[in-house]
Amino acid sequence: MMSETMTLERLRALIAAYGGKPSNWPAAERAAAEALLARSPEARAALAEAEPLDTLLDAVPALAPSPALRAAVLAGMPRSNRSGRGTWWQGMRDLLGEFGTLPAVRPLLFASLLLGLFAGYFSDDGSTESNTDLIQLAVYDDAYSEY
Amino acid sequence: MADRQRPEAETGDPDLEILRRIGAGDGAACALLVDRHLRRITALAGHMLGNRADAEDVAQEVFLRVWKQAPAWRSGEAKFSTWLHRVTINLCTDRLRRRRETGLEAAGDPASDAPLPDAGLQEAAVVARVQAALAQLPDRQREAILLCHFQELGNIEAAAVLDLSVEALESLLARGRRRLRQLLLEEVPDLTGST
Repeated sequence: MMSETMTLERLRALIAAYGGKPSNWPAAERAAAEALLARSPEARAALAEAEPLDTLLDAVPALAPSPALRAAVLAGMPRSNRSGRGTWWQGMRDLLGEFGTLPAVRPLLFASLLLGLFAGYFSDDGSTESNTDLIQLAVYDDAYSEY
Repeated sequence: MADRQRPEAETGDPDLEILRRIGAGDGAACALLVDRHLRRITALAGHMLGNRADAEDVAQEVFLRVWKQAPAWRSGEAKFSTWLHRVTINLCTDRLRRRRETGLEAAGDPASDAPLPDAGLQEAAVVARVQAALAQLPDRQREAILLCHFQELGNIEAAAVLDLSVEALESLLARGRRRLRQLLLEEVPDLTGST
């Protein structure tokens, strides 16, 4: 397929297969094809025929991955890749992706963390049940449900 | 030794070093690989399956295979992105086959972030018409067009994904585009005026 010169027949075959955008043509033939376009009105006419279909195909937008998909994909990474490398902040940044790198997001995350710590501290009325208490409550609950 | 330090130069595969880091337990390399490929894989699955939920399921499944395969990845075989596209196409093909067997059509929200009605009913109708025409193509023709036009793969890589010669790829592309032209421009001649 390497060619120093391009025939009109080969250019038509390229356009029929790859459309009218030179960037989609095989790299090895692109320069020769563009040179032919520059000097041949027939070549330019062949290119113009491809344009309407290219325009229609270009109108179809690509589906972009949601942030939830990215997080789910990363959550599936091997266990051996999840620990022991990088800081907790690096882990958060990996999980949040582009969202986590926005300058406005870091203070928000930090504020959320502080708010959580304060809320936890001031809402503690000393009556927190131990695991044993919780299990006992569950047993009572089961027994009560029989009535 | 020098070769080991320059895997990309040796194989032309820009993902090789990232895969090596993943094999060594580097979590940041996993994120890097996801950011390099998730967008294209989701787009390809979206074009093939026609709805977001299925496309994202497939993308997730593709990466589960990536995590399993990455530590054992060897240079000198297929390029990683070639393998990734092939796995995506295979998983989508399986889903499409199951849909045909069970008589289920694509359901749910549209695959693409297509313009909503308030952004132009005409434009949305054109997009739907083009998607329908693509769906009417034989599988291999559609895959060839998706890889070359939408994924913008080079002809050699697209041929490798489909396990074809470049000549066979060009034949598929030409037949696919000819059929699309019939469906979109000859049968609905005013369609381009709507874009």
